[in-house]
Amino acid sequence: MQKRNLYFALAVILMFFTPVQVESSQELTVNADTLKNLKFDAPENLVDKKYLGLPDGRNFHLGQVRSNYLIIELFSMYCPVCQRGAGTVNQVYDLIQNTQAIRDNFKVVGIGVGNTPYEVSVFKKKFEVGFPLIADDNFIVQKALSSDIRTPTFVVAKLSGKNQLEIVLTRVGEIKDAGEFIRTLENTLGSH
Amino acid sequence: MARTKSLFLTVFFITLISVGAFSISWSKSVPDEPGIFDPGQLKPTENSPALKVGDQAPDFTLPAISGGTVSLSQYRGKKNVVLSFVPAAWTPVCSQQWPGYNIAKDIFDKNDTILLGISVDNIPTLYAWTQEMGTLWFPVLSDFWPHGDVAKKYGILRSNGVSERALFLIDKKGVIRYIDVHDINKMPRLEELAQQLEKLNNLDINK
Repeated sequence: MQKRNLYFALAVILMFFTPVQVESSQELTVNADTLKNLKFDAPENLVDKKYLGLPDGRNFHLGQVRSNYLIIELFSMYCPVCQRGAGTVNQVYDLIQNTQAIRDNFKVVGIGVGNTPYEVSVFKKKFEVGFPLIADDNFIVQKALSSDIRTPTFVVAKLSGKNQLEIVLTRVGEIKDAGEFIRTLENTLGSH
Repeated sequence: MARTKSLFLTVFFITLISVGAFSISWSKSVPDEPGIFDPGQLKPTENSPALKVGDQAPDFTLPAISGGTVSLSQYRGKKNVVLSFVPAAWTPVCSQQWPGYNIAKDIFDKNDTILLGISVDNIPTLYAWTQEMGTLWFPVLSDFWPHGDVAKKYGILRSNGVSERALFLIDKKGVIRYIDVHDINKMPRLEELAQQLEKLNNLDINK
């Protein structure tokens, strides 16, 4: 009888544990040290280069961006969810640009994961993206992530000069409400 | 009786452990998008193209997901045609390739080219799958029955019944101008296709 109770107890425990393990395997962590050392091609567009405050040169590190915080959108030109959400991400950018307290602290950059510069330019033109988009055709950004990239993913990093970078927020999946995302950013600003 | 009960409980317990282990290992292989089946890394290509640049493209008529049928010959003398064969619905790469073309309509338009998407899946499957891609501007055709008949004519039907990931560019006279039987695991680069479209369109303009 005692043995049977033990079996049932173990069975019940397993039933509760299984979904928890499935969920935890999909969590994303970003290695800030790896991310800050990744080298990307600088945008050719001078407006984008100026916006990011990059020094002259063909390549740059994300830590070189002149801002207190950097919002990084990992997207793909081929990803239908990124296409569907492009308008909302544009709204986020516009809200940032129109709100001085945030504009002075946050900059936005998109990284086209697995995309060539040409493919990134097609996405930028199609969705009239106002912020810089850079290509990552060799998937180098994957090196900084703990699990396979799911696009779109948003990473907010705090930049403290001299190529120092700290991850303060990660979000996997589409932004459905630009205002809500901005409020999250404002909270981030308040807590750091 | 007690032994039977004990055996039953042991089997129940082992089954639960197996289900748990399966759930965990499956979750680790979930690809980028929900609902997409990950077949893993496949042999890049299985077929050498039976056709070559300069050959006449075999004509075909296939059912479209929007209803009715589409024939290659209906574009003769009117439009250049890109045939985009993708291996299977609900798999990685395929599920992004056509959405990529979907936002590049102006590249096709300015080069007087129509795109035809073809897969060996049946109409209901293709319909459900393409709904996830937004509204596609180009016809999507089913090469389901006779199974993979068109893919076979083009020499790109794999031994497991799916097609290669392949692009054929056909001019207004029905002649094949470009073939890319691509690594099935990888996305063909858009600029390569765009360059081929431009090259062919420039030839047309200068005639």
